[in-house]
Amino acid sequence: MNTTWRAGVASDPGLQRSLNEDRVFADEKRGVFLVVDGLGGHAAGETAAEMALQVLQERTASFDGNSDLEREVREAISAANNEIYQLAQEHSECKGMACVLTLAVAREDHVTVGHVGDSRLYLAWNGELRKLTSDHSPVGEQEDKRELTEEEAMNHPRRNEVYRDVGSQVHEADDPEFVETKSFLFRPDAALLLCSDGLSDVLTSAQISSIVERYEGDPDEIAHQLIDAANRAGGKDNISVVFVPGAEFVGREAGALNAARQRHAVTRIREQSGRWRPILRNLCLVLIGMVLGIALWIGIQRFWP
Amino acid sequence: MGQQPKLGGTKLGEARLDGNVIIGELIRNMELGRFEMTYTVLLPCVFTVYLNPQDHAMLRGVFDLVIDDARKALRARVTELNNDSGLLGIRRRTKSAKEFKIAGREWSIEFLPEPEVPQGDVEIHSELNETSEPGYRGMKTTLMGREPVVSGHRTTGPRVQANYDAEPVFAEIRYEDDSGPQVYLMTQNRIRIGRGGDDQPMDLALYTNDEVSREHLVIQRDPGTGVFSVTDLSTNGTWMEGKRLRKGAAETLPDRANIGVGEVITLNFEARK
Repeated sequence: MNTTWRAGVASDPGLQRSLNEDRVFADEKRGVFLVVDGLGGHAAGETAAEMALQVLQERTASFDGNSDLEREVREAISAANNEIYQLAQEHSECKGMACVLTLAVAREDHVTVGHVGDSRLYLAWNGELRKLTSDHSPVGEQEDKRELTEEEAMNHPRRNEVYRDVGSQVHEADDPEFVETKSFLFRPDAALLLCSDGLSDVLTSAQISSIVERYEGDPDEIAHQLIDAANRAGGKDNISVVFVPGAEFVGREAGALNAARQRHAVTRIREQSGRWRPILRNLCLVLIGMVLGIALWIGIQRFWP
Repeated sequence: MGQQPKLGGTKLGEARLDGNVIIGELIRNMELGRFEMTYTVLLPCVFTVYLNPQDHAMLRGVFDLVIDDARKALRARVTELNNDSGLLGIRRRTKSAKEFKIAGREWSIEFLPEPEVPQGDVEIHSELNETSEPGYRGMKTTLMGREPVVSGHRTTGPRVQANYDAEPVFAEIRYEDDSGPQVYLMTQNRIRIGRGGDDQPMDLALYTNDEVSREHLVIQRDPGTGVFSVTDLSTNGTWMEGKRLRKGAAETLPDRANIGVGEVITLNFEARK
């Protein structure tokens, strides 16, 4: 089947950093979507992110349509991991460099996700936003277990620690403690959102959902609105999003849809056109009074003996 | 939202805090925290200003003066917003000319020290009035547009448990819908389960076909006894351990049960004791 996907892509350094260590990528034809977040604090987080992007671009371009997609995704991410690790071994200034990433590959009506770290993949459907990836971070893990509320997690001082990354040590593709993979049905009226933690650390899922639900046909518009909202909320980190609406996805807050909904329950206040209307109405009452008065007077004249 | 992480703590030069900066931030926060109504726009009037403890100590003696000045500036800004004049200073009489006001008699401004706020920075929380809704934290803004004073870099590290107040989990529900295997942790006494949509937010929103109703079933927990019950609200039915439930009637739910949703999904319910 030959489906072409549409994706809105945006990445921004945020308000507090000059460097953007995030990378985003969307291949609409192949249905490959990727968000990479270079780990700051390490040497060359950006180099690691860039390298992951290149390796994954290359690998996903040669994905074989018939084989096990989860396996291919795992192998691609492990290859990126091992190349980053190798480069770091050769260059002392790159020692310990790493990144986190979420890769989604859409094939026909299914999506396969490979994920390491604390970037996220959300699925929007029927007005609800579901987070489908787990956060490989102590705080995110506690949030997933409901030991922390979303707000507590967003404000947690250790929010920035991750326990899985791409690049800091060698991994085999089938290491269960490395790439998290999952496949699910991509309904045409659903949408995917991949984002770096620069978005999910400053916006609650309800806030993200309310923006996604504004979608009316321009995926880039949603991607930019998400970035703007994250910057308004502080923009403390690099922010990246890839938004992939299914062919039939329409946001619940979309203008067109709302207009249609409102038509069912229009209440209209009668136009009060100008200030003459009340005067005219009073004049009418006076005239009616006069006519009645005259009629009464004639009546009395005629029939009163 | 937007709190600076406490990692690293390296300072990039002394940032001196200026009175104008604080007042400017108060005004910005007031404008961002506006609450629009049909004829009126309410502005927040209760502000809590968090400063780095060092800045706080330095300014302690002049807070009253800063508050006086800030009130004047806020008042002036509200007057300005109300007189938003059009051409030649004539106020446009349009439908959108709303009155800006505060839900109190006077602005209340409080300064508090907060170690998480970097030196030279201001973090402001505001409320519309004194009696804010529980849980509603109002508008929060922090001074932006300068290099971060604290490094917020990500680090890789071992899995460590940080101890926080845990939300009690009453039950665990495992299921598989079209988004794959999922675990839902029940932390409320009543949860609505279904496909959702049409402005019916579900606590457990299933990603599945329309054999499942928008609101298919409800699971409730009696807070007094801790006993769970399930109520079917659907078109295509709910099953408990293979037995179809009567629509609309609450049925006691054992601590472990398989709940069939339509004929599509099975929820493995397990109460946590």
